[in-house]
Amino acid sequence: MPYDIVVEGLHKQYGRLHALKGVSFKVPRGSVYGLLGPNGAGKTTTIRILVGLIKPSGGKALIRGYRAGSILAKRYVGYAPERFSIAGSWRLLDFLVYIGRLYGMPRREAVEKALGLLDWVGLGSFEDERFAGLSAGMKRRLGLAQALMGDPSILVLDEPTEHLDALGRVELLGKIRSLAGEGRTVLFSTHVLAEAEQVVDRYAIIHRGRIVYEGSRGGSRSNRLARIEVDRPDALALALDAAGFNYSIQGNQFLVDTRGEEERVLRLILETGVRLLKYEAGLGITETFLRVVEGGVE
Amino acid sequence: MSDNSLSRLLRLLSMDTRILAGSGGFIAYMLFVLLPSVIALYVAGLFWMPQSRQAVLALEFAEPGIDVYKALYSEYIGTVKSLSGMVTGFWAGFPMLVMASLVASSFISGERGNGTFDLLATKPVRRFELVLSKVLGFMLLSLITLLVVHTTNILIVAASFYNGLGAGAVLHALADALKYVGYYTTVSWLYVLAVTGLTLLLSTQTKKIYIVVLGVVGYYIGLAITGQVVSGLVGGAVAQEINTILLNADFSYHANIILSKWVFGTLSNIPYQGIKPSYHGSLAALTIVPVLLLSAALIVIERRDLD
Repeated sequence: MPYDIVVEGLHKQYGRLHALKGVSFKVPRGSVYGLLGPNGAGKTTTIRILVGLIKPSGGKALIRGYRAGSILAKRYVGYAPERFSIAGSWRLLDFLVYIGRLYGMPRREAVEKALGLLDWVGLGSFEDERFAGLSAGMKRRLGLAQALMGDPSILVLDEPTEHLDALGRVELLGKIRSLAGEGRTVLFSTHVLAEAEQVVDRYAIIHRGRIVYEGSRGGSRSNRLARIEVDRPDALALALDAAGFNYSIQGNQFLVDTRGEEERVLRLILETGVRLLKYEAGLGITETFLRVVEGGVE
Repeated sequence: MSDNSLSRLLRLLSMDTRILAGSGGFIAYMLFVLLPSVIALYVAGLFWMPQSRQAVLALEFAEPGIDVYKALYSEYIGTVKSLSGMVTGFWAGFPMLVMASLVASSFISGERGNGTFDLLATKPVRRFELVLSKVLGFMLLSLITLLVVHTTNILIVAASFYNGLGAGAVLHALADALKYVGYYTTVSWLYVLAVTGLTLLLSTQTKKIYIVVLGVVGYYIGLAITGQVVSGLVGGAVAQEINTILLNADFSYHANIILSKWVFGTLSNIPYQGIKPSYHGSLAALTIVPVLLLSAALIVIERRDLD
């Protein structure tokens, strides 16, 4: 499976603050990938490295095999930041044409593309408006339009639904799916889990600078997190440690990252000889998130 | 379309120059630059024009057979020097420092403050290209503005003589005097470049325009104060020499004064001949300092994290 984004052992340090502590994940081509996590978890730092705004302190981030931030990598990426803002004096059409020209488009082609995109994001009649006159929601729409000006194969969206009303959110999530349907790869960050549930193919949960969970959307088959209750938790803990599984434990209840190897986990339980009281797999994204972040599977 | 650094830079230069030329900030700056010419026109109309008429009449009356061309040329050149000196002195002074710094600080600090720069930095261009295109556009527009200012000054003086004498005498003197347009434009232009370089270097460290402008102004004031303080503390001839060296050390600011003195032929009046730079030496220093400042700014903005 080809991967559009490969992140391996990414570190970022700001003085004493270790914002990223070895983040690794891969985004398959043509998929919608969610980077989920609470505020301050490291989502935006990861994204800013991917689009070339900041440099990693260690590890690597590749876009289609090119170093993130290089000119070649940036050609593939369209980015809409969390707080999209430009000088208030820009007229919307002029700004999008300017962006198009940065990609080497002839002016006429850039104008056509810009008008089409303004229409697509619902700003069709605002081409001559200035940025300062837009509402927060309209600014977000413009943010998406400018990200698409270079016709990128990869879209990186940081909290794309922030500042949108309910209808705007539904529309935008639909657009994300349709963009993926055109063969684009979409990486987006959010702390609104219900949105992730609706659109992602795969997702990673980032917490305190680490990826603590990576999984797929969907039911028990594809989800890796399992809740297990046994009579002798110490024995199972030893077995899980020996086999290298990540887990958290509360009393005699385990939350185990099965890595998709549920059979192996079950076999471990049998081999250990502990009595299985409860086994629940395939938790949804929201429940997984809450359990991972609050329960601390690391 | 080919997409190397040069083609991207030229594309950006064409777009940014047009945007800058139409921006409120640059229009205010341009009016400010042109202001001395307006003042010069007013002064010439009120004072020099009738004075020059009287000078011609007085010459012909007092000394029949005098070489009128030579006498008037001498007076004309003197007037050109006075007027251009006034304009250059005004231009290189404190108000222009603030105006040029205000425009240049918008290239990085201003655009970082409103979010534009960070967004454009994620597009397939190098950050230094985003800045350099604006600097080149600004310097190109400044050059045109300065040429207009200095040419206007000389033409205004010529007009004041035209009323008193035939066109032949005016053209004769004008042709020789036009070379001063080159001198003053070069000096003023390099001064703007120096202020721009220093402004951009400070801009790489903060998004707040007022901090950058205060920093630039503080740098120039600090330089003068340092000289005075050292002079006061040490005293005597040594202190004077240190003070002069410090004041002359910053060629980006003071070389223009030295160049002006060279043009006026009064360079020998500067004390401490040992540190007296030549015209070309001053010109080289006035070029190298801003280029170094600008290069440092471009390297820093290319490498630093944008957070």
